[in-house]
Amino acid sequence: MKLFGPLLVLVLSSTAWAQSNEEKLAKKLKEPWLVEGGWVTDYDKAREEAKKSGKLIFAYFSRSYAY
Amino acid sequence: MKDAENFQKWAKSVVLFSHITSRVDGEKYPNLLSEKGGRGFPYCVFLDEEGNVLAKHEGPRTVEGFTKTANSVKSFLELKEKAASGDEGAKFDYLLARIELGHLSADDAKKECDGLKLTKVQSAKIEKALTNLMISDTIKGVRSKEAAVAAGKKFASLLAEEVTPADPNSNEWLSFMAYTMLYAEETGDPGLFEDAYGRFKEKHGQNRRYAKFLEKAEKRLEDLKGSDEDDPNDK
Repeated sequence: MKLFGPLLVLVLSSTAWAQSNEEKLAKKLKEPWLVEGGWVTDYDKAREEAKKSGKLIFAYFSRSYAY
Repeated sequence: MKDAENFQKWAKSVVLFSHITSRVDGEKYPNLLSEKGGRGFPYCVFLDEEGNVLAKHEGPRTVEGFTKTANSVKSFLELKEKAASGDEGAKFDYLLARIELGHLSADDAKKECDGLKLTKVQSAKIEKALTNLMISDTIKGVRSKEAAVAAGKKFASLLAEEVTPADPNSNEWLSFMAYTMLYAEETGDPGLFEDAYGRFKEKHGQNRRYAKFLEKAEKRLEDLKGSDEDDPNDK
């Protein structure tokens, strides 16, 4: 019984951690600069578009997991 | 607002690709940042349609800055054409540019050098570029403490010959010194540790970003010197 509290916290926090990376990504993908700015977020699609258009790819690397 | 408008105008000349490292299960290209030469965020590069790095953007993140880097890409592509047309000078410059951009492995670069008649100055430039490539490849391969120590051992030999990455603000230079310190610590070499630490402090001692690292490194050096003095083999 004594262990139940800390174990519960551990389980909840580890569950929250797995979910929160996905939630963080979903939140990032909704940011206005990304949605309205014409950014492609798929690497394969970016290369496809570059091949079709003859344009260079300007790649901007960021992360969502650290929010 | 004006900046955003100017950026949108400029952005019509490129494909805007935003890669987001998410650490979500099943992430498609989790290591794309390091594959394209990045070590931290944010990181901007220009790629060709195959995904080859044509230029790393290291200046201000403004339209002016991006335009300048994009122009260096144009220069690189012009160099490629000149080299293909048989211009010997362009062949060398193109080879050097590709080594510096990480397009070639050290082995492939050496094979291409065999086909060129190089002057002493050119050979020295290639040698330096290949050393930087080796350093960069070694750093990319570090995934464990053992690998970091092994990298430090390599770098310690280079340091002894006064060979270090050229740019002290680069991730290569920072990692070079950090791994050398680690190797020195693991092998109980306070002299080597102090050398690498001293160089790091000289270049970055005023930068708050590295204050904690330097503080800890100073403590590590003291401990190393202390244990060196206590070595019974010295008595």
